Amino acid sequence: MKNEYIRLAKNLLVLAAFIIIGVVIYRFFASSESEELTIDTTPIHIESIKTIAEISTVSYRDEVVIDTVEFYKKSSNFYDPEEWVRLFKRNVKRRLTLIVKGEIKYGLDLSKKNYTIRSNADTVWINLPQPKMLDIIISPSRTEIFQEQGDWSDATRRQLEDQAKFKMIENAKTLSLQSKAEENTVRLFKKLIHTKQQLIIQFDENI
Amino acid sequence: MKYFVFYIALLFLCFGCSEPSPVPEAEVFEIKNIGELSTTEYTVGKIIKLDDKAEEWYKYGDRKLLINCKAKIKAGVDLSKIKNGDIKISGTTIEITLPPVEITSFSMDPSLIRTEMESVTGLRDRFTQQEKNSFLRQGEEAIKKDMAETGIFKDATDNASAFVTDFYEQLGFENIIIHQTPPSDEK
Repeated sequence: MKNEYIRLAKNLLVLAAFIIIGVVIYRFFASSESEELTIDTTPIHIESIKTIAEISTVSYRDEVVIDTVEFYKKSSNFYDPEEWVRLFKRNVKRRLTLIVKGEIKYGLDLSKKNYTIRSNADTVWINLPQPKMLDIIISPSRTEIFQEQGDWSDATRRQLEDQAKFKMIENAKTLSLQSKAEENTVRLFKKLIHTKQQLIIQFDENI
Repeated sequence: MKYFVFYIALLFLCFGCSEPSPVPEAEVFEIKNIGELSTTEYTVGKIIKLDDKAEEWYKYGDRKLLINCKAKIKAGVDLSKIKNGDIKISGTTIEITLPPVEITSFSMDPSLIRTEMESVTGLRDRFTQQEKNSFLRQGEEAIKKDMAETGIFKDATDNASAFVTDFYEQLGFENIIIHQTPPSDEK
């Protein structure tokens, strides 16, 4: 009777070993979600419509790399199997690297009809608001997940994308694009206004 | 055998101590002079729906995903495309041919993207960020395709005409004739 129990235990042990090996093989080979999946067709819905009047005169394109790495905590227990995994992974527990391409546009926002035109026989004066950042364009097609190791939440990814956006804005600020936008605005308005009168364009920060 | 084990352990130690792979550097930027007049802004929403059923015999479990995303789209005319012959003046009459309306800005800000539901059952893998980005790209393409069916181009045309008329009226023109080139399918 005792021998039978031992035999049963051995059989169960072998069966369990087979199941574990089977699951491991499945996880490593069969379950990889490598195929390209296609999303279902769903309609778009318009949430708001706005009438605007924005004249963009400078476009700045930038590419930013944002990386986050989580290392294993230091451990000296060499007999711990996780320690061996750590060695294989070069001490990196998780890593997410994004390459974000974006575009920033500078120009005039005239949506509130906040400009004035005065003229006499010789001169035309145009008073415009000062150029500002009008658009920060980021989209999934301009974002590349360069490296993804381990599980990452949407919140962390969003945080990294926000960091990339912030970095892009900071880069743009260092390039004095506002004055470049002013120069281009003058050039554009001169092209649109065909006149023999003298054209004076002024930028007023109080408008 | 003893030495073999020693060398293998040494090899692991060497790899274990090395630094992780470097991050790619990106310092490329481009500044361009443009002259776009955006006259209409649409905010559109879309639900990205994915139902990944286990169709293969060896796969067990399903994966489902619902992402709610929004896109801000601006449309208008590219004033830098106006050529010398496109503006004709005769006394207080001005005749202007505007370039075709086009999408001037398309943005899907990360703050406007939210995963509403994510379900993974059985032995299936979780959705990776790489996969989610691929679905969002498909969603973005779908929005761009469907945009033509909304009234964005008509609104942009009407608003561009209204803005140009108002601008030239303030310059003292009494008769403003605007010709609008029909939108092309370029963008």
